[in-house]
Amino acid sequence: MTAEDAPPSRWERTRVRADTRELRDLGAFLRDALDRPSEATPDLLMRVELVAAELFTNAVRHGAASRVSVGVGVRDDDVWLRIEDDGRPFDLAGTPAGPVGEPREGGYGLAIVRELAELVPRRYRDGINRVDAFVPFLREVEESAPSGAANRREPDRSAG
Amino acid sequence: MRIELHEHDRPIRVELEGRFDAHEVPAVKAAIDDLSGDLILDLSGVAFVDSSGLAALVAIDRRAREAGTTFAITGVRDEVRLIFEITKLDGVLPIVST
Repeated sequence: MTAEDAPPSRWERTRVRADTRELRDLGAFLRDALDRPSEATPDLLMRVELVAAELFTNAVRHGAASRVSVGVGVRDDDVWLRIEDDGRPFDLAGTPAGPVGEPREGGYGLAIVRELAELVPRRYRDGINRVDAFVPFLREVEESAPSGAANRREPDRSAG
Repeated sequence: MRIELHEHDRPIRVELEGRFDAHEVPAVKAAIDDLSGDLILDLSGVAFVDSSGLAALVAIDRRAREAGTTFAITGVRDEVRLIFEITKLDGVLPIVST
């Protein structure tokens, strides 16, 4: 592990069964972990929980994982989430997100995650998928042109 | 998730309380699938909606359109409104400000 992808010193981690009934406890874990920096607004907590929940559900439903680990910490101006699962290898970077703005009965998860977080997929290794998601403390509000996290140029943080 | 049905109201009113996430969606859909007629879904007690909950709302809306009935979503909390905004479904789903 390089210094680049080493989690910050204040880092909390939980490991749960890959079952959507764990979503409630996952949300509680995240709110508790982020409660200590008092600047965690309801909007930030909602964005962090949405990103974690979508990546978690994706691992459960599409990756057939049995266990999922979720780590959370704060680095600079971001909440850093690390989601690890023991499911099938998942090419997050190569998976397109469905379009937004059109009603359909599924397939919004990745679009939501990409809008709210900067994703850094790590190499599948030792049977574990790992993705880091950086959720900015302050959300850019869309004006005349799309300006969400998904549209920002991602810094070169190569998969580790 | 608490699901409270007011089947004798017109429109029928359904109040949800808790989380509307991937785990809770089947129970909500099962409760609503049994109903027929105009429907109001009150989300004022809902603190979290994920993409599965969102997809369920799209399905309920589609079913209402096909049946020729009305469907309205009320009571969306400010923090929950985010998911509708980023998927741009706030202008597609019948969300009514209360």
